[in-house]
Amino acid sequence: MKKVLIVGDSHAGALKRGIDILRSEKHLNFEVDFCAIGSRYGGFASLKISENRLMLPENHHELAGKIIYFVDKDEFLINKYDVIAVACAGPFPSPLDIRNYHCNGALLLSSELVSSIVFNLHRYKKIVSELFCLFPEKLVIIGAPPPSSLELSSTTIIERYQKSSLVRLYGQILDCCSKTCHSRTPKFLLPPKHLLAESLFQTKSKFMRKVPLGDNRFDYSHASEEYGVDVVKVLSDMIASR
Amino acid sequence: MGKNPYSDLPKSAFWKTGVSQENPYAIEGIYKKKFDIPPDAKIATAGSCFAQHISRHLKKNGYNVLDVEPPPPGLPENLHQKFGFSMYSARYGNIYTVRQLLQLAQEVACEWTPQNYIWEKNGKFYDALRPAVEPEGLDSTEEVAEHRQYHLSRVKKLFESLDLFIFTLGLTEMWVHKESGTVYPTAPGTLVGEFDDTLYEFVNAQFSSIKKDFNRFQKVLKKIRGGKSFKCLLTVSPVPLTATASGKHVLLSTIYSKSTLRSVAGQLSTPQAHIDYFPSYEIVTNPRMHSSAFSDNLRSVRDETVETVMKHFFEEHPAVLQREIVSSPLLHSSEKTKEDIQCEEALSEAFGK
Repeated sequence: MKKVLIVGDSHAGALKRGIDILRSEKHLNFEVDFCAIGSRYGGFASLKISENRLMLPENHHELAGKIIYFVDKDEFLINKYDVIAVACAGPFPSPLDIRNYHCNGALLLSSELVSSIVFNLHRYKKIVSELFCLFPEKLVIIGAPPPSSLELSSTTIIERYQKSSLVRLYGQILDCCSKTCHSRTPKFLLPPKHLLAESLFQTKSKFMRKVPLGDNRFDYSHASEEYGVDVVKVLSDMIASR
Repeated sequence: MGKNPYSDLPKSAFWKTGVSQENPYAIEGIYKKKFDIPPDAKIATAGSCFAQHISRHLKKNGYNVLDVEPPPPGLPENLHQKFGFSMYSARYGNIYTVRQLLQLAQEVACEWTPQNYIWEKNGKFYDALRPAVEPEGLDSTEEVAEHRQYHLSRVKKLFESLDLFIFTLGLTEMWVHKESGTVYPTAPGTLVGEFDDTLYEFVNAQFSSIKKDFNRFQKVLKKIRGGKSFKCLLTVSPVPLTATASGKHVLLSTIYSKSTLRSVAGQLSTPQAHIDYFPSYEIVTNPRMHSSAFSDNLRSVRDETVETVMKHFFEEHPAVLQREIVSSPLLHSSEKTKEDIQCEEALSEAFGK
């Protein structure tokens, strides 16, 4: 059986639930370890890579209670894995809350400005590019669904923004990779189309987690287990075809 | 010696004791405030580049400097200026001339509309009235117009809410669209656009027109505010001209420009109780400094000099201590925490711990 290491932030949660369901149905065709760290205090950007090892930060014991992390081990021997899948949020919509930057349906941030924000916001770019440079054949970027809470107040501006953000983020990852890793192209796992809204850049609201958060708020930032199941199936197919 | 009109005057009245023998870093009596600035006064800043220093130091010293177009969260601080954020109270870039300021207010008040203000360079489009705030330009003319409309709505908010308007007068020289009179902060073709002498002309503003423009600006501002009064603090930028288009030597043009602006500031502030003048220009160009106030290019004002200038300001308007630090209005820390909790909760639930 192929072995997969899923590295991520809270967005790894949907994959974990999807994997649990597929495993219980005996439909999982790979073994999996998780290294998922909550985004507070930097999330998995604090992981260290040394030679073949992916390790928790040295001070992780001090951080216990501050960072929520669910790792199966203190360190992972990367050579043991066939695939390293990264599941984490992009830089939107928060802390860049675009709703404060639009007027009469127009996005009030130039593409250059969005690009600067995206580039600087993506806290995981260093660790992801490091993993990619070291293990270009193993890395698969899954990402996270663009939060569909925005769909609720959907306007073309938001789609335009997300589209440009994603394209730019993708461009920056490629750019970063080509500069540091001699033009190798990372592999992206795209969610199946039925999960996506018409724009193909947002996830349909019904596939979001939506659990109540209090104050009449619901979680529209994280995907549901249904989403997780369908994405893990795509990951399974990808692994099987390798 | 018999009594004469000068015999009882303080040492600040004499060149020898007020300048030659005076410490240029602590000039006694050079600035006496006309009015107090209450700690909660809402301050708006604008003007030529020297105004940025004033704005920064006021913020640092706890004053309530408004920022109606704050940088988006996530934009690193070292890029704020590149995109025209955090420099002044709105994202209008440098307002070098009083005519430019007047036109901005008139535009906000819907009394006037700029013409020919979208310039193109290499397929990108720029707001010629603030070309530096988007250094790479925007993708379409429509986008420039939309951004401008939003900007104007924010400036309106600023004008409505300010208590004190600090303006640094920078230049008399300007480039104007012949047909409409639209004034640009930069010459066409320098940063963006293309110079065409059939479209644009050079104007070197005269004392009377600058004074008139500022008084008109005050009227428009008052109208925007529904008649609510406000206070003004004027300064003159000590930064010399980079270049002149007047046909005269740049030194002559600089002295003309600064002298005119200084006179206007004096003529505006002396008779009007709500306008104060702060002598940053004099502190920087004091001959006692032997030009050491400037960097090696004899143009940029050294940081230490700005400190000295502001020290004189804060002697009259002491720093506001223990001001509550207000977080970005666009993303409060409590919202951030909620978001973190939401993420952690999603993770905990999935991993069943």
